[in-house]
Amino acid sequence: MLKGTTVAHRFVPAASPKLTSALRIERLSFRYARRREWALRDVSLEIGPGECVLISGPSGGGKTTLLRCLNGLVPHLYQGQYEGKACIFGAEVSMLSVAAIARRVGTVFQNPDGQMLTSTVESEVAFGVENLGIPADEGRARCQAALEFVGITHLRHRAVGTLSGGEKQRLAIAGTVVMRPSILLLDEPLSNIDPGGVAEFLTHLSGLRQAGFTIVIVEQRVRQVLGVADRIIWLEDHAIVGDERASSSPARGASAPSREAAANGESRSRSGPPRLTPTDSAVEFERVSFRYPYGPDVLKKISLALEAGSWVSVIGRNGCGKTTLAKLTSGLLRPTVGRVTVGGLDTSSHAARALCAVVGYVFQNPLHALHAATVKEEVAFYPKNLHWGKNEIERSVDAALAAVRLCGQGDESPFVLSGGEQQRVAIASVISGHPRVLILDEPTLGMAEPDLEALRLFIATLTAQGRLVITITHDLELVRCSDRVVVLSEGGVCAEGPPTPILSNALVAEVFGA
Amino acid sequence: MQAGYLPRSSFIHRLNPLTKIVWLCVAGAVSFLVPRPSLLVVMLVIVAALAALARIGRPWLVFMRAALLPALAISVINILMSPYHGERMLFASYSGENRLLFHQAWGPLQLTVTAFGLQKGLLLGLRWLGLVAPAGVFIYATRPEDFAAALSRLRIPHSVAFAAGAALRLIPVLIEDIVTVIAAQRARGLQWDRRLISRARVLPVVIVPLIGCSIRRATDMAAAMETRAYGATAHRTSCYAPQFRVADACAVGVSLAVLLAGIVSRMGT
Repeated sequence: MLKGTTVAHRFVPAASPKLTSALRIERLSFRYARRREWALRDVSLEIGPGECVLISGPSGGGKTTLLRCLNGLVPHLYQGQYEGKACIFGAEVSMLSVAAIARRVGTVFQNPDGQMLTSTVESEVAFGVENLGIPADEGRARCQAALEFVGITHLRHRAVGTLSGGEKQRLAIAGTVVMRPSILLLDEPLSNIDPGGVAEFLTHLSGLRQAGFTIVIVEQRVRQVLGVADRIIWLEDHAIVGDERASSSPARGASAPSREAAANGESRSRSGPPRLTPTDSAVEFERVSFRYPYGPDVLKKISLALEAGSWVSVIGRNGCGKTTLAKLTSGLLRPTVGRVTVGGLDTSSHAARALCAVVGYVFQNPLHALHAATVKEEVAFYPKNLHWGKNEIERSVDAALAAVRLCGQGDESPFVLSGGEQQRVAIASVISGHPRVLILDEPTLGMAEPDLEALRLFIATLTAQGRLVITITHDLELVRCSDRVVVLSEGGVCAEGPPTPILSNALVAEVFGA
Repeated sequence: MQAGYLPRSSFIHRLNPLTKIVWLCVAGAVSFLVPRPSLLVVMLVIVAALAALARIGRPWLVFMRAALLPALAISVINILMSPYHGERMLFASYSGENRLLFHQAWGPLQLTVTAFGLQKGLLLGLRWLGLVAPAGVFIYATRPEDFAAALSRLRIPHSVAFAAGAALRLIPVLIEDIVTVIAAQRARGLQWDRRLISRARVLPVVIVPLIGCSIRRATDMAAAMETRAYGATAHRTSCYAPQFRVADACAVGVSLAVLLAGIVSRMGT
């Protein structure tokens, strides 16, 4: 917490003794405009001042909507059918202006990039106090205190774009506490930081607690936040299904995966494509260097051989060259020096067309790929481009949708689905082309534990068919399940091997800042 | 190509954005007032020196390389399209005798290159570069929010100024999105070759995700602005607004003097 506790008292206004609840929700239901399903159904909840509450549950269960009800974005920004009421310190959210709510409730959103509104650290922190019309002198003092509070004073003149995920998140917290709210809402704070940053974040979180904030965290990874929270609320199917003190074990969190996993394992084994011969789909890097025009080397003399039928995780800090490695594998980029061969094809001498039949690449943000009118058309896009026959395409689309549990949504538009479902459509739209090498870029972002288990089983099915699966990830839980780990650091491979010895390696720990 | 603010510690970065706006306008005007290509080259060299001073020399050169193609197009079109006798040029006159340098006729199609046409093409191409070059320095050396703050100082409503600043800030993000969308679709077998016709045919496959991403980004930004009390008061303050210093006064003085000199020198002709 660095200097946190010494400046903490400056932030939180003394709570009025008369009020017993900081946040109160009474029989709240909400349905977004033009949606059939309710996002929240008859939710009642009371959170006392100074409490630290964890809200968890499967993706698409209504967690984000609940947060939006607490900070007034529902019903002010996101409109729809609103029943019941939500109150902040006794005042009804729907009656207050969003700006008035913002003085009491600070929100740190899931995506650190999406909430950055200016280009340097200093001006980003100042944005809120400037909006409140606080005089420049006092504003600067508050910004200084907020920067100290989260420990990023040394970054104050940096451009926002050059910060790491963890640094951006701290900046987002600074930009929020600078407005001196008494309630802090954190939406999936762990999903965008390096594994090494998690412990650090948790220390910050306890600092915020000690400073007296009422904290509501939405997080899928229950276990990691368990130590800090007083209370866990479980949201499933748009309603609260559990509300426990944190001392008891998270029974639901633990039991859910096994149930789902069993169901998925079954459905997949029936619909999977035929097994491949595992000899010819390996990826090979021979002394590969890469640089963008006029730039420094992103990758330096990398040599790697990845076997078919295995699951390889590529890890490393932001900007270490992971995505470049993936793009080189898929033939989207060609090496400046050296040779990349995929399934026996040299990526420098083969057209992108030949390569894309061999390598499938699921990008991190599904919105970068989704374009079709229906989910089925989206999933058929890849095999169509490969000029498959009609029947073959149909069969492959059905199998891919079954594999990601989206059979029922085939005729819906991909744009009305939830974030987690869009991610699954993106995965289906790549496996439908039966690539022998599959690259998944951060597939677990915003994924709950049950989905994580399903993903593991899914990857296992693919590798059993003789495919090579490459995951680029920050998620250590996923890394532990893979067959092999490649650690990138400053453009080179700094460690490589099975996950257990690699993750206990001191060098790797250093790279991750753990 | 870099398409946004590059933070550096330089004298030019520290100048007040209003100063830089004045300089930008003066540089634009001067590139029209200068009558000879040679003087425009001198002006470009000065701008290049300023870019080097701001420690953005290399990205500025890459930026200028991208501006070269339109400059060439402007030059070539003007060289080929100029009538033999030479038209009146805006703010410039021809020097020397007009001569026919090249002539070729294919039926009704005539291709004529004259000395005047050559001068005109060169001048107009260089004028384009003269307009674009200072803009490159401005974009790389001015924080979008300082630009926004400067605009609101000019009594432009903050919402308009903020939108202008955000637009400047989002250009690089949009470019990155375009690159990623094309890569994501090519990875799924999209044919993205150099032929314009085939590109036009597959354009929806690129445009739709781009719109999807932009809508999402706009909603995220709106949510972030709302929860940070944007518009809470009509009297928004500015904590780190750049000050107007002696250096700014000097820079504005020099800029205006150059402008005045340019105007006076053109008065006689």
